Amino acid sequence: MRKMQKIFSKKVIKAAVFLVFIFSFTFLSFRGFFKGFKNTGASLLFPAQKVFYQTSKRITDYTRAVFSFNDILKENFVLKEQVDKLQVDLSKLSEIKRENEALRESLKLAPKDEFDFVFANVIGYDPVNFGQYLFVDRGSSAGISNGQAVITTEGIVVGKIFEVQDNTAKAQLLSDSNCSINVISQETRSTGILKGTGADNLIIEMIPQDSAITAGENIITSGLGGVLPKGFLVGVVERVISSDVDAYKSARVKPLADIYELSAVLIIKGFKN
Amino acid sequence: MNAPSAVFLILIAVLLQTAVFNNLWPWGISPNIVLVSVVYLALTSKRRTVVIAALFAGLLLDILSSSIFGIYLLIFIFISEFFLFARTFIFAKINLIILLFAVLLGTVFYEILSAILNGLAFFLEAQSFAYSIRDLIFLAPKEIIYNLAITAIFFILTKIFSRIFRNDKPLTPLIKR
Repeated sequence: MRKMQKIFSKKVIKAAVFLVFIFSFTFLSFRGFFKGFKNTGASLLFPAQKVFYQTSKRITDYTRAVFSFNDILKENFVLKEQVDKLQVDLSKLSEIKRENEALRESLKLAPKDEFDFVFANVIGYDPVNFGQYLFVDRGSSAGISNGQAVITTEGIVVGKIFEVQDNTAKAQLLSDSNCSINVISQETRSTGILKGTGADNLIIEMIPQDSAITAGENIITSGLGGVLPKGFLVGVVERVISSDVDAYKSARVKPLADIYELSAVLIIKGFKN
Repeated sequence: MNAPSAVFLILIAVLLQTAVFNNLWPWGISPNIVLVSVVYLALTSKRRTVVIAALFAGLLLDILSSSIFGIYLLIFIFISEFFLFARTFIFAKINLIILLFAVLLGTVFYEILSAILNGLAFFLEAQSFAYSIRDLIFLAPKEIIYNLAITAIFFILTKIFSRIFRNDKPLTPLIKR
């Protein structure tokens, strides 16, 4: 009896009650009970996060520029030579423009100006799943909603909107292991499902065995599934993985966007009327 | 350190981790200074301060992370309680080696608990444990090295500042509580 009393001492009971509380708390959270609280908390933190992110970005950019001063001088010299060359090339621009339009049509690439975009500043990253989610300073008040495509200012897909608050939103990056989108290779038109690996590269699965996908090919969104619009660049095939015993091929893809260098993104709200 | 200072330290650590370190360590993983701060506080502050700091750290990480709300609260409570329990005998005296050992232990606990709880959450969502396990195997060693490096820098800076301000005991453990 005494032994029992010892085991169930006040401390143990306290700890048990506390653990039950925490597990109930987590269970309720799993049912989405604390979503409102989480959104409010995030909205309160985001202004400070934005200041920290933008200040540190400016400092690191400036520091990098200072440390690469010699490189900048060399680059400047090379650029001056290139400017002279470009003066000549400029005259050929109208021809190149026409050719570009023809290529875009043949590759079925989506021109950026067909879409309705929202410009958003990157204000931070998920502290736990680092490099798999990022925060932007635009939310539902700017017309952002879940599932909208997030692209770089150059038009390269980086992910999709995952969670939206009034003035902020969280984007799930392609690198996240739970993110998957339909893609197609630009030259051989091989289709597949691009998935994040949680690391730097991505993987395309479900590529038909008879497809001729090769390393070096550009990967673009296929538009299937209705998640992302068709024709936006995603990455380049690094390696094709194929085995006779597998029903499908897979391919390692290097993303074209450097997610750690992003200071701003575009969010596709829809097509322009 | 008192509770308001600890809360402020945690807030700054969270902001640095979410908004600054991705610029300084752009390789997919960065030091977990929130964890380092909680471990440091658990060894040097009063119980009340440690509990408040751990709850606040867990809460902030839960708010900002994409994981299920409550997971990091639970992890930080476990870690702080462990160090509060262990500090009376294992971490009674604090020097660089002891602090590094504590951070190493804290990071290992953090990574294992994180893998189990996140893996469990994914499992409930019919996802795989594979990514949690992979993170544990491949990313945890890097995080341990970063955390130890940050701790060593922090310890040396504390020493320097304490000498400047003529304080002989930069890190004072609480043996009697």
